[in-house]
Amino acid sequence: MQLTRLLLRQFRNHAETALEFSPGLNLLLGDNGEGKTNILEGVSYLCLGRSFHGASDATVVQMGTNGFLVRGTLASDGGVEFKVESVYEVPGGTKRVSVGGSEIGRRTDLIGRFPLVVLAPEHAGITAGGPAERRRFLDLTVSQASRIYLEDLVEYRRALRQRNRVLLDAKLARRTPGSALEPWTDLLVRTGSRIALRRQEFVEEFRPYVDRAFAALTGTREHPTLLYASEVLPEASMTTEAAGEAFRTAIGAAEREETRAGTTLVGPHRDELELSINDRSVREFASQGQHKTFLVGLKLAEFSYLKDRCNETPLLLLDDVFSELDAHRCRHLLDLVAHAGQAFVTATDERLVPTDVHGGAMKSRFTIQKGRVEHVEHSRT
Amino acid sequence: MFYTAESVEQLAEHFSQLPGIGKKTAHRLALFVLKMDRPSVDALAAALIAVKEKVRYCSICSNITETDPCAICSSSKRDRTLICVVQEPNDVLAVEKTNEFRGLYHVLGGALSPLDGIGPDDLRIKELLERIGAGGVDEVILAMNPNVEGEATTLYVSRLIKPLGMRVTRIARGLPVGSDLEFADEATLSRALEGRVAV
Ligand SMILES: [Zn+2]
Repeated sequence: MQLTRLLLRQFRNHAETALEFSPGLNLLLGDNGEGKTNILEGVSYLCLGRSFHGASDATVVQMGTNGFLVRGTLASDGGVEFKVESVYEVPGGTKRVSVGGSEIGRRTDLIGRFPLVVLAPEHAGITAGGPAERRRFLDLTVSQASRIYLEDLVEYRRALRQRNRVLLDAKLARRTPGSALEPWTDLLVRTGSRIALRRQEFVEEFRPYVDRAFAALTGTREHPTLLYASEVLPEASMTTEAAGEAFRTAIGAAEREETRAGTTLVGPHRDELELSINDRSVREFASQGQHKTFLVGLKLAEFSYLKDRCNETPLLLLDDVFSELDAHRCRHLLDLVAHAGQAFVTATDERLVPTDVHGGAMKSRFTIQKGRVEHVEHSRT
Repeated sequence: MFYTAESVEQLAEHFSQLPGIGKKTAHRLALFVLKMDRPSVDALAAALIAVKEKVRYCSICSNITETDPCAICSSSKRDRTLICVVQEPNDVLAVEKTNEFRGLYHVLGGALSPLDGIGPDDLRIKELLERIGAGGVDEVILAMNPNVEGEATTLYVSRLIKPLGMRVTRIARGLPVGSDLEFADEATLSRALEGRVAV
């Protein structure tokens, strides 16, 4: 996949910015707050239909304007071009996404068509933060690889919110939820057991990719392990039916506790992806350097995994990561990109980015100031 | 906004309460009414009042009707052993358009959605059970919208009906997920009715 052109209109601090990108490395340079990360956010609107920061559409609109437009031309590995457009209007709060001129009904129809891998400072939470950060990583990766998973996830989240409301109402009224809870439990069990199984399966598929990425980054010194821990899956290899049974039993046993808490306490929305290096938990024991290695390793693995699964090279967004990484890890990341795909890299200082990578792909350098591209330079490395 | 007449503003305000009508469109509609000739405006006003005065809910199936029971419930040509359960009166219209269904209907008046304050007691589920309990029904087809709330309603209702001993089916999930029954095209809906499966 390649992004050849991008237009941002009334998007964050970009009144009107048009860019033409190189197939290899695209460096976006500028001080903090000048608008370089906003360009990455625009790319994320094309691929995921939203900001990778999780910012709402309304907050992305340039101050004092009535909406934004993001338009891009993406070319698949096979050379087919797609014009993707995301238009948001403040009055009414409606967003329309279209691919090749035809409107897409739901955001879920977009995800996975143009795979994207993002590494930004906030992703430090994947190795250092709580389980929710790791589930988010899992969900976004698997969603881009599997449409069915994404559908299940959307359904699960909706059913979960509905079920939580039944429990909360019961708690406030000091009664048991009774039969009103049952259909939501049914739905939760049905989609939840599929989600847990798919995540477990993903972790199995993903393991060799992580191993390869780690070997490239650290040689053979460090061995990463990923383990998916789910209350829904008490045994190793379970059928969907057995997982459903286990989920139903666990949630049934928790009903009194759930009514007291006013929320759902069992299910894949509480599962954990345990990460360790040489059999020691990353979260508890890893050094700063190991955290960074693990994170970069996961992202490299995600890149290769999605490339295989989607039959399409993902775009890679690296937001201000080079001030955090040492030269060795930087080089690996960029090496990969130079050989395998197109990357968009923000940095405050070009000296932080090792640009002497191999590959010979075209490279572009953009200097961003106050929401405008002040300087562009195209070259071959 | 302050340059326009107050009556126009008021009418626009009323229009903007309608589903799918924004402030701008409401204004355009109000100005359009202003330009209409007097008899047309009278007819529009009369039609609005007639809806409220003449239309009621069928005491059997809860569909909207001007005669009670409704034309479908009182027809001798319909198969009384078959009841199709839908969410809204619009859904009756959608299923009727397929010309595939010869049974009776039951309109629940919505779908379960605790987030919107809609629980089992807010739907006409009790009335459905009474109808079935009165006997003569062999099959109940559940034709809710293909979304999470429709799905939960299907599960809830089928749990209640199944013990009563008749066949309970649902329309096949061939409908595009996330779309309302009302918006499904006739061919899709026909196929969904054709391929209904036991719950
Ligand atoms: Zn009737």
